[in-house]
Amino acid sequence: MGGWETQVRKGLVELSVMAALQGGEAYGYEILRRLAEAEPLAITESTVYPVLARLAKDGLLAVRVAPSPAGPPRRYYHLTAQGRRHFAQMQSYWKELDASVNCLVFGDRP
Amino acid sequence: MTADRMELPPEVRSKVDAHLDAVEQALRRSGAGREEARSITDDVETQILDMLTTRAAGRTPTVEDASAVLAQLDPPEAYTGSAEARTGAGEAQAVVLPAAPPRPPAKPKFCRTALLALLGFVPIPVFVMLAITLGPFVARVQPVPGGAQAVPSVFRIFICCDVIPLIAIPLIGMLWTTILGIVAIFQIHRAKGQRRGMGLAIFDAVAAPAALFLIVIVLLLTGT
Repeated sequence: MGGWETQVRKGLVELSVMAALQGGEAYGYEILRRLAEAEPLAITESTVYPVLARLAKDGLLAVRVAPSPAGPPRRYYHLTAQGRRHFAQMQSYWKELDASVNCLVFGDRP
Repeated sequence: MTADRMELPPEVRSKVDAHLDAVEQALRRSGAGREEARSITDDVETQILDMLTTRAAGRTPTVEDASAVLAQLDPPEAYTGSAEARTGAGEAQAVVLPAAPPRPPAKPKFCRTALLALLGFVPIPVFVMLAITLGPFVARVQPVPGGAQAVPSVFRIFICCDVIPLIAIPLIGMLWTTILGIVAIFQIHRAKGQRRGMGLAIFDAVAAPAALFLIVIVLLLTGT
C-alpha cells in the first residue's frame, strides 16, 4: 500500500469509528468488525482501540462496562451529545470534501 | 486485564497474557498513560477471547487455537506507532519524538559586575599621584598676614579645580566598587553555580570600606 493511501486512511479513522457508532453502542471488537465491512479502509485493532481510548478521553465517546459470556467485561462505547455534534460537523465537512475532491479528480460537477 | 476471565487452560492463559503484556509495554513506550494502556489492552483481550470462543466452538481452547488467533492480530510493536491515533494527527510528532539528550552543564561564566566594580579603584592611583604632585602647592595655599598668598594666582585656579575632584572622584570610585561588589555577590549567589568570581566580588565589597577604615585609624593614631 502506498504512502499516500496510508495517510488518507489515517485521516479517515476517527470519522469511520464515529460512523460505526452512530447506529448504537458497540464494544471494541464489534466496532472493528463493522469497520471490516469497509474493506479498503483496512483498519486493524492497533489503530482502532487507541482511537477509541482517545475519543473517550476527549469526551466524544462514553464507555459502559458490561459482563460478557466470553470472559472479561466488555467495554461498550457510544457517542455522547458532544460526540454527536462533532460527528455532525465531520459529516458535513466530509460531504463538502467528497464533492470537491470528486470534482477535481473525476471532473464531476458538484 | 481484568479479574473476571474466561476459564482458559493455564498454558493458553499465559500465552494470551504474554501478548497483552507486550501490547501494554508497547503502549507505555509510546507515551500512553497507565489507564489508557489498560483500557486498550482490555479491548484487545476481549477481542482475543471472542475470537478464541468462536474458533473453539464450544470446546476448551488449546495453545494452537491461541497461536492461530494471535497470528491474526497486529503484533505488539504495531502499538508503538499508535501515538498518532491516540493523540490526533497534529500532536503525534511531539509525542513520538525522542527526548533530547541532556545538555552538559554549562561552564560558569565570570561575573561581569565584579569586574566592572574594579573600575572604582582606577581613580585611586590618580588621586595618589595628584596628591604627591600638588601636595606641596596645597600646603602653601595658606593665607599669610597682609592678605598675600605664597602661591601665584594662576596656580590657585588649578589647585581649586583639582582639590574637589581629588577628594570626590576617589570617594565616588570607592562607593561604586562597594555597591557593585555587593550587587555581584547577590548575582553570583542567585546564579546557583552558573556565575563565578565570588572572591573578587567580596573583595570589591569590602576593600574600599576597609581602606577608608584603615585611613581613619592611621589619621587618628598620627593625630592629624
